[in-house]
Amino acid sequence: MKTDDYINKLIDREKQMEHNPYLATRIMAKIETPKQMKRGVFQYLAVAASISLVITMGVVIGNSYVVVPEKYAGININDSEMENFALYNTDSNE
Amino acid sequence: MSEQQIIQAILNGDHSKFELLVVKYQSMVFRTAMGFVHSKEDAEDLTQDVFIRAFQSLSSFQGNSEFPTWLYRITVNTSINQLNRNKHRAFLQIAGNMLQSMFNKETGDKNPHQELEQTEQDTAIRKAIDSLPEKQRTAFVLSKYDDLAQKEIAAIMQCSEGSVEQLLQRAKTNLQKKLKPLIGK
Repeated sequence: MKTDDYINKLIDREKQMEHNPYLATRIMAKIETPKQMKRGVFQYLAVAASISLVITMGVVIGNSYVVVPEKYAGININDSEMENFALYNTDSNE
Repeated sequence: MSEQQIIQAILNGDHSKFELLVVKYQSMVFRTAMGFVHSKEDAEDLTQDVFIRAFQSLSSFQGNSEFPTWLYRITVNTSINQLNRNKHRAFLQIAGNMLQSMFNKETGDKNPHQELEQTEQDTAIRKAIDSLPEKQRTAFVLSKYDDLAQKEIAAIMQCSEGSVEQLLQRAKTNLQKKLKPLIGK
């Protein structure tokens, strides 16, 4: 087989390949979609600044919380001075 | 509606009419792109890029040449620009094309060894076509993939018919020189 024949056979095979039947739809969709605004540097800076601000506020709020120590009140319970409820439960005391 | 009327309607704001041109010429553009990139997916992406570029520069189409001629020029320029951008991906592309051609093969009477041999031959041929100088490659693709006459190729490449004939002859000689040791007699 000649070299030219090999080349022509490959070209024929590639020529027979068919494109996606929805290619035209895809192209028109791309054309009709309005161009999205290019994201500038300032937009990225604004997003970074917002995130930094939120983190800083969180840290500040966290640090502003102060634990107030409770006044300690000691309770001295003398069991012998407590009223004896058992006295009221016997029939003779009614 | 004639092509000129369609173009005028598009320029007047009726963008939906552009679909008529897309449907009419998408196969032509796809075939030409295949000649440059040898990959169905890449050719489809290129076709999309070509039509978007054509749409954006439609106002600059003055009608001095036929619309298909103008579209061919955009296709060739877009394909060459894409190839220049993707030069570093050449190795991956060759490997991908090898895999693709293995999977796209029709199951015939060939045994695996013959199929592998064919895949290697295809890769060698594609590599040889891709290594042609830009003008020779353009003339070769337009002649072989689009079956265009030398006169039409000359109009697209904006050169003389004699130049096109020389380019095609040199392309043929180069390909034979590169491929004869590898395949064929």
